[in-house]
This record gives sequence, C-alpha cells and structure tokens, in this order.
Amino acid sequence: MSQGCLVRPCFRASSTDPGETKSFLMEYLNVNGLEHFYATQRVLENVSFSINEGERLCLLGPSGCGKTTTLQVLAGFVKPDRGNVEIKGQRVDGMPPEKRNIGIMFQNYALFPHMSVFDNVAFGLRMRGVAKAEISARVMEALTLVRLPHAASKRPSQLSGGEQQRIAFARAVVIRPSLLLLDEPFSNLDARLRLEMRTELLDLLRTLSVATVMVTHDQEEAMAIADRIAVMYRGRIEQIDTPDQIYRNPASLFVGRFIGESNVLPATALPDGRFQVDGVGAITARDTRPSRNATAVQLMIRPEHIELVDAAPGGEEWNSVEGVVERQLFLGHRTEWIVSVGGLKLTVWQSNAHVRRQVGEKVTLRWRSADSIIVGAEHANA
Amino acid sequence: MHKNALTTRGWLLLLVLPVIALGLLYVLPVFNLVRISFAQYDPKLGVIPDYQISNYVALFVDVFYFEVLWRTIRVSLLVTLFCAVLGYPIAVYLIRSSGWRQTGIFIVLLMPLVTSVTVMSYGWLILLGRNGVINTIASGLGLIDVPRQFMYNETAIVVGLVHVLVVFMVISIAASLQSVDQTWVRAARSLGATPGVAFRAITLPLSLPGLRTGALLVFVLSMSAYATPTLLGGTRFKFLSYLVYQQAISLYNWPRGAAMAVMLLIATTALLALVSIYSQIRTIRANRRLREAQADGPAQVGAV
Repeated sequence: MSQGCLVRPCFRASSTDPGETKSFLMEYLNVNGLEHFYATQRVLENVSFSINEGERLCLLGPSGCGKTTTLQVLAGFVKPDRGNVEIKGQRVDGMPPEKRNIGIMFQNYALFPHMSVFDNVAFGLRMRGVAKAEISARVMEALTLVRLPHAASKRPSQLSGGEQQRIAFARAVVIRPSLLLLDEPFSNLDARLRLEMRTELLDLLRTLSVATVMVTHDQEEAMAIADRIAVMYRGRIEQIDTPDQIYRNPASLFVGRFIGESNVLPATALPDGRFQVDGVGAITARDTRPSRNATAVQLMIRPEHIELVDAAPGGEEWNSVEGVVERQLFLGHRTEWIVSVGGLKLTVWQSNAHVRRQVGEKVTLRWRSADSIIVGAEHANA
Repeated sequence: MHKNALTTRGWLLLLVLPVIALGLLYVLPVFNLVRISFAQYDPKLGVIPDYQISNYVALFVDVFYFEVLWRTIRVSLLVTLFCAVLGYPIAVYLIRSSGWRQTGIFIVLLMPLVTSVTVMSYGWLILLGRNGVINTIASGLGLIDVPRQFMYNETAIVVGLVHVLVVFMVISIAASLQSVDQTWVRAARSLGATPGVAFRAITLPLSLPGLRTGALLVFVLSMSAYATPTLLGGTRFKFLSYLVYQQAISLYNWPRGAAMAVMLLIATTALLALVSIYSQIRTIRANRRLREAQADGPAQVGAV
C-alpha cells in the first residue's frame, strides 16, 4: 500500500498559510491553570502544560492524582471549573467533544460491539460526511497500518485483546485527529502482550507523529513511550520533564519515591554545604532545590547507585558509610541487600554480583556525591 | 471433567421435576382445552364428547367475535406502542438516577400491580368520568361546553392497560440499557457524534433486545388482559378474554369458550411468530452480507 495520508507529510499539508512561521513557534497544545472540584474535593490544582507538534506527553501518577480528570478535560467530557485548553492557538474548552477532533483510545477500547471492525473504524469518517469511496480507502489504510486488514468484517468480540487495541488505535487515528489521547493503553493486556504492544504502539506513534497525551500509572510504560513525563500527585503536576531528567533529578520527594526505588533519609543542611544524617554522619550531596531556605530536608539515594565495598575509598566525590548486612536476597539479575546503618536501613542493589555477604557482616557502602540528591521535605508524609 | 461438574445424567435428573410440573400444570390443561373446543354443547346435557369443528365454524361466521378479536389485537398493539414510547425515557431516567429517587420511581411503577383493579378503575373514573376531574377543569376553563365521556371506550382501555403494563417495558429496557457502556457513547462523541446521533447509533440499537422483550411481555399480557378492559371498556367495548369468560362461566358453553380461547392463543402465537421470523430473516441477511463482504475481499466492505 502506498504511503497514505495518515503519516506525517499529509498531516502538515494543510498548514501552508503565511502565518506558518509564527504558529510554528507557538506551542501546539496549551493547557493553562486547570482547576477542578468534585463536590468539595479539589481534583485538579493549577494544572498547566504545553506540548509541541508531534510530541508525546505522558501523565503519570498514582490513582486519584488527577491524570484521568485532566484527560477528560482535554477530551471535553469534563468541564473544568477554571483554566483553558488551546489547540493550535484555538480555545477548545468550550467545545463539546464532537467538535474537538480529538482521537481517543479508551482503556477498555470501547469498540462498538454491534458493528463490524470496518464500521467501527469508519464511524468517525461517516460522522464527518466523508465520501463512501474515500471512507473505504482510509479505513483499509488504517487497518493496514495496524496490520489487521483481514479483520474488517469481523466483530470486535471475535478479536483478541491485542487486536482490539489495534482496532481502537486505528479508529482513533483514522479521523486524522489534532490530538491523540491514550487512556491507560496497556492495562487490559497480559504481561507479555503488554511489552509487545508497547513497542508496536511506539512505532505507530512515531510513524504518525501526532501530538499525544497518554495517561498511565505505570512508570515503565511512561518512560518507554513518552518524550516528556508529567508526574502528577494530589491534583498537581509535581514535575514535568524528560524521562531521563525525572529519574535523575526528581523535583520532589514524591517524584523520587514514585519513579524507581529510593532510599530516603531525613537530613539537616550544615553550614559547610554538607548534610547531616542522624546516625550516619555528614554526607555530600547534590542540592537541586529551587529555594534553599529550609534546613530540614530529605536525602535520596537510589539502591543501584550504592556499592558494597571492602574498604573505604578515598576522594572527594565519594560518600562512604559503615553498616551491617541485615538481609541478602538473590533475585537472579541482581542481588539486593538490606544494610543497617546507624539505625537506618538502606537498600542496595548490585547487578551480576558474585560477591556473597554473611548476615551480620560489617560492610562499607559507597556512592557518588552526585548520586545523593536533596529534595524538599514538604511531602514527607507521601 | 471437573469434579463438581454435572454429568449428562445429572442434568436430565434435574430436568425431571420441571418437566413433570409443566406437563401436569400446563401441557395437560392446554391439551384438555383444545379437546373440549372440538366437543359439542347441549343446554340440557352439558359437554358432549362428540368431536367436530362446528365451534370453530360458528366463530368464523360470527362478525361480532371477529370484531372483538380485532379490537383485542389492535388495542394490544397500541398498548405495546405507548408502553415503548413512554417506557423508554422512563427507563433512561431510571438507570441514571440512584438511591431514593430510583426507589421512588420503582414504587410508582409497581403501584398499579399491587393495587386492586377495581380500586384503580374507580380512580380512573374520578379522573376521566363525566363528572370527573378532567371534565370539571376543562369546562371550568371554558374549553368544553358539555362534559365528555372519556370512560367506557377503547381509549380508556389503552390508558388503563398502559398504566398497569408499562412497568414491564421499563424494567426490560432498563436492564438492557444497563449493559450499554457509557464509554461507547463517549467514544462515539469523540469521533464526531452529537448526543442525539450517539443515541441513535449506539444506545438505541444496543438496547433493542430489552425493547423487544418488553414489547413481547406487554403484548402478551395485554392480549390476555381481563379485568382492566372489562371495567374500563364498559358494556360496549369487550376484550376477547371477556367473551371467553361469558361463554364458559355465564353460559356454561365450555366448548365454545374453549374454541375462543384456542383462537386467542393462536392469534397471539402467530403474531409473535411473525415478529420472530422477521427478525430471524434480518439476522440471516446481515450475516450473508458479512460473509459476501468477506469473500469479495476487504476493499468491497465499504460498499455494503
């Protein structure tokens, strides 16, 4: 099949007006200061973000963090109490869902059970009054894109979970949406299929290069798919950045704990720039806080950044502490140790470790100063 | 086989009791009814076991009987139609409400079923009668000069039967509406359907099974209704069930009454069979279209 209009070249073909340069500089999707209440409970608090054309943003957070409500606001199913949404500089927040030209892949796919796969995918085109011949061509193109052209006359119930998801994707993109929304796209698949579909979906999204907002509670999915991740917690965006930055430089204790594993130690800022951890000692750390007024802070170290060594190494860039092995767990691809240091327990991971320790053995732990990160203590109860 | 799974014999054993019950309580009486409908009646001797088709011949030449049969069918179809039209919005409202409001709707809907038909008929008399509320208000407002009779005609029968039977329609439709996932409607909206279009394309077709079941229940119950049409239709507008009662109980002509009952049974079954055959044909046609589309290759699917 020829390279169809679903892929990028045709996507952009419409924007050839003189204002092109200007609108190119403008962000593609702007979400400004969303606030929303369910009864008296605030579910969105000043949620703002913007994404560029073709960019994939992932809203990541635990359940009840407001990510789904944000998606509903974008889709038009929830009217926010405050704030606005702009796509290509045009306000869409007052529009009903059917006017927004947004493609949605629902968590349960929401394929119409009484229609064939063809009719499901054709639905959006029929609503737009597209000519019959063109509907046929575009539906088949979309089905070919998701590698299911032979499923056209089947009913959704005759398809497997993965196939249903691909049809749901075809139905969402065949209308050439200005924005694509993916709601927990992998939650209904079993573990193996999930990995397979993740790669496949990423390839499709790259081919289409359509601006995408995805909602998930699974950090691995978010990291794999997204260009940028917005970590949400209690109705607010805690941090919005690339997966790499989110992992390396969490902006808050919540982000540090939610993404990956962390050892979190309460610490006090010392006048010399180091941080005092009770029972452990003075630690050199990287302080990325925007404001350094508070002296009570949290010090975060990822388990894979800590090494178990026999002797304390020298050098300014290393922190080292003494501890006692409390537990040793061999997990195949890595070994996990729980080491007690001055009443605190630190988790340590080492890949391909052939070294074995005895429980009760005295060990030295070391990690690079840059790998201990200071975050604010504002969400200490997270 | 699973340890707890029933064997074929187990299933058959389980079926024995219902089969016996149905046989004794349903098949046998119906068989007896059909048998009697072919017997003869003599005012002095009662039922004579001389089996002929004379009762049916007598019915076929009886214009009055056909008038009543036709009225029964026509009114029942009207009742079914009104129940569907009224019941659908009520069912939608019912599934969208919850708590005390849902309970309240249920109580209002079920009220006619737990109220005596006689009491209800007097209720309608107060509303619709010559000196009733509606006449008083209408003449008070100067809309009519002379009080009109709203009671004792077919309209009164339709009103009364819809009142009693609409609950069956509402419950059937509500049950199938409950299975219509709201994300389907949202998906349709996101694809460009207005709320009205989404309703016609998604909600309505997916709730049709409930509408069909409700229509079936209401039609059958209306065809065999006795008390409501008798009390609200007055002396001139009889339902077939009243004629059966008259023959069997008042005139002791069991064979004639039985023949009438059998005709009612046949008429009802025939109408239901027609509807069922029609929907079967539609399903078969739809499946054939799908198969042909598949055989012609996917490119042709859009043409169907």
